Amino acid sequence: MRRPRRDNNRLRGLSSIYRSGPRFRMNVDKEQLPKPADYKPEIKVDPNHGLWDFFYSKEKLLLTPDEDSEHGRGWTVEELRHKSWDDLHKLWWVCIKEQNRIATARKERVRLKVREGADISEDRLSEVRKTMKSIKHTLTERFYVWEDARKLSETDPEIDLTNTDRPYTPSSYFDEAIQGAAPVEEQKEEVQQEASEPQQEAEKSAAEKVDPSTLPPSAAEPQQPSTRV
Amino acid sequence: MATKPDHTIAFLRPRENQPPNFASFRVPLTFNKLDIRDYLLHAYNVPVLGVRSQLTQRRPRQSKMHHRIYRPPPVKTMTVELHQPFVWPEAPKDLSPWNPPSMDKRYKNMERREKWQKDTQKTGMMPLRDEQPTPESRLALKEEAKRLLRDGNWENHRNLDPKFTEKKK
Repeated sequence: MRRPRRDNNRLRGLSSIYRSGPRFRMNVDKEQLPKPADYKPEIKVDPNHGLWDFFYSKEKLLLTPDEDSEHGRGWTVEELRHKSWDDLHKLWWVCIKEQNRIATARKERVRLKVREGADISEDRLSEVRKTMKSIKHTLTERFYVWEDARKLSETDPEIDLTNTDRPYTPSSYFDEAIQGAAPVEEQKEEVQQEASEPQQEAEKSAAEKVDPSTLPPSAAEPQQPSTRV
Repeated sequence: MATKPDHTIAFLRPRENQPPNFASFRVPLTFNKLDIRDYLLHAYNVPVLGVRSQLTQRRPRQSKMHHRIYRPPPVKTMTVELHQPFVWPEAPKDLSPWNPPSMDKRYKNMERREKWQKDTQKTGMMPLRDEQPTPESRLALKEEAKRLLRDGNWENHRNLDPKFTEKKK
């Protein structure tokens, strides 16, 4: 019989985990006691489980160094300039997932104590990093262009940013000419010249403020959608 | 411009006897439970029932730069309870692509040298020759010397060029 404990707890110090043995004397030896069955149930994993994305395939835990080195270069800024916001967003998350895959593989390589493959995986990671850097570069560039365009539009009389439906109303000088119906053609030309000259000057002065390197190469190319809906 | 999340998350192999409906991740220190729930749901389409967070303190270590003792930042891991169980793929049985046999000798030599250096730094004493294992070449030389003394027959198993042979007078 056990000596009573100070706190009168009969179970003090007895544990099924730490092998402190049965609580009372038994007719059978400790070795003869029945043991729980060594049984592990087979678990069916959903083939569409999202966590598979942390691995390159469902069969392979790690890529061999040869497979790992089969990667191209990262995206460059020039290529990404032609992509839309949605494309860049998707590419960013592809990069993030690739990063996570590389981090998981790195841990496994340490656990399995394999010798080769760490530096090759690092090369892959650096290409991913380059792409991510280019995406940020492209978006920053786009933001500056947009800001410059907005500043420019404030000085432009044809653009009214308070009008969200149609901010751009081209001035139709042909209409003015018809309304005026000037009898003398020379007078009309003078008026037109006078009207167009200050406009050109205003545009020119505003355009000079903008750094030309931040402007898009041509207006035909698709740009970041503007604020107008 | 909205900042883009660029956290790296590593999926950790489950510990022994960890139920298959739990998954552990190593997360950045700035992550909280809501962050990982949101991250797994939107990036990986994995709904999560519950999250447990662990911060593991690391051992103090001596800096190589200024030899001061400092404690590295702790490691944050989070264990999530999954809706559907997940079992990791099997580890490869044949590790030869990662441990090429052609590099075996070099790695063994490297490990031996590192061990020698570490022991020397630790004890401050170079191991004496008697304490070191006898190299193969030395044993072979010893055998050959013994044989030469016993038989006295110097034979190199090579045909010498006649210009090296001493002319008999």
